[in-house]
Amino acid sequence: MAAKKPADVSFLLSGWCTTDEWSAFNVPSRLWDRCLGLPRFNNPCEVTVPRYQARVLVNLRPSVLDPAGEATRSAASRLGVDGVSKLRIGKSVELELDAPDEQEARRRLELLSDRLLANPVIENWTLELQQA
Amino acid sequence: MSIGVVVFPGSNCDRDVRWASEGCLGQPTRYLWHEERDLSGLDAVVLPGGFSYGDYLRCGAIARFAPVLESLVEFAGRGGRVLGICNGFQVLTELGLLPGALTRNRNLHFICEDAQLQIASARTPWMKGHQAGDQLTLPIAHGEGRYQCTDDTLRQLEDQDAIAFRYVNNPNGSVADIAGITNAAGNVLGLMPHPERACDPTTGGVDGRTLIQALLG
Repeated sequence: MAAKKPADVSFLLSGWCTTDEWSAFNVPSRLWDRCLGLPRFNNPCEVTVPRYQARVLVNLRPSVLDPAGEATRSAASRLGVDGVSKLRIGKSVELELDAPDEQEARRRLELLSDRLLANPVIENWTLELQQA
Repeated sequence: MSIGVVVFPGSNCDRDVRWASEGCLGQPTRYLWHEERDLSGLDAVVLPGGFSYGDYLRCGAIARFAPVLESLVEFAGRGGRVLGICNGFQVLTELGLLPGALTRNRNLHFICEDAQLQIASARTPWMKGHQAGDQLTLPIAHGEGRYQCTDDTLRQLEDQDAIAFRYVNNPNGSVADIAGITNAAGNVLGLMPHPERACDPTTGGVDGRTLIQALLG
């Protein structure tokens, strides 16, 4: 369905607004048009779906050298902290996700972790998930 | 016959590639903005060096989802020539057109210097006029150029004769001194060194000309 277009007033803007700026300015109008297209009451979109909190930990695979971790480990001994025999640096990604149930939330997060947040060629990931 | 050079937000070698291909070698070249999908009329596509999308998350991880790359996967499947240089090589591995991954240099330094390379395989059209064992000097400029892959992948690369270049003096800790690889078919080449910076005799050597010429060769 074609969204209702706001009146073209771009001629008013010519000279003090570039096309890109005008497009950016235009976005709220388009969103407003979409809102007008939805029923105001009993809107199925307003049914609350559970929100989940997740943390994805991404680490280099054990077989892959972590030079940043090694550099940090040598700084630890310069600080005078002895006995650090292993130090590996990873990433922590915190997310909030709306999904109908935990199984679906897990499915989406596993896809995300495996295909975007981590590169399985060199990295492992673990997922922690709980309902908010 | 023409060449497309993809421009991502954060690419910074796109103009160098065009200068090499068009300015130095007279090959028609146009830019491809990352949101384009139309590769019609192109015989080869170059993914240039730089820091696509700020290299957020991992080098090449976000660029992989650019609309132009959906068309590129089909283009490569039809046998079109694809050259990924530096960040472009990282994008090709994230995209899955080439195996393995590139990560932090062993010594953590950003290395910017000339590198001596040995042609490990001359079976693909990229190496026209060269033989395996020939040496080239090309500049490298990267912080995350350490090629990593599993033992199985390495064996597969060797079995397919898909290792294109090896470093003579491994600068970054890459597995098996790997500087560049091709796919099995040979039409997709990814390498960390910069052939486009070695095409103009006033700014460097001309050892890179073979690869840039091979785009339409």
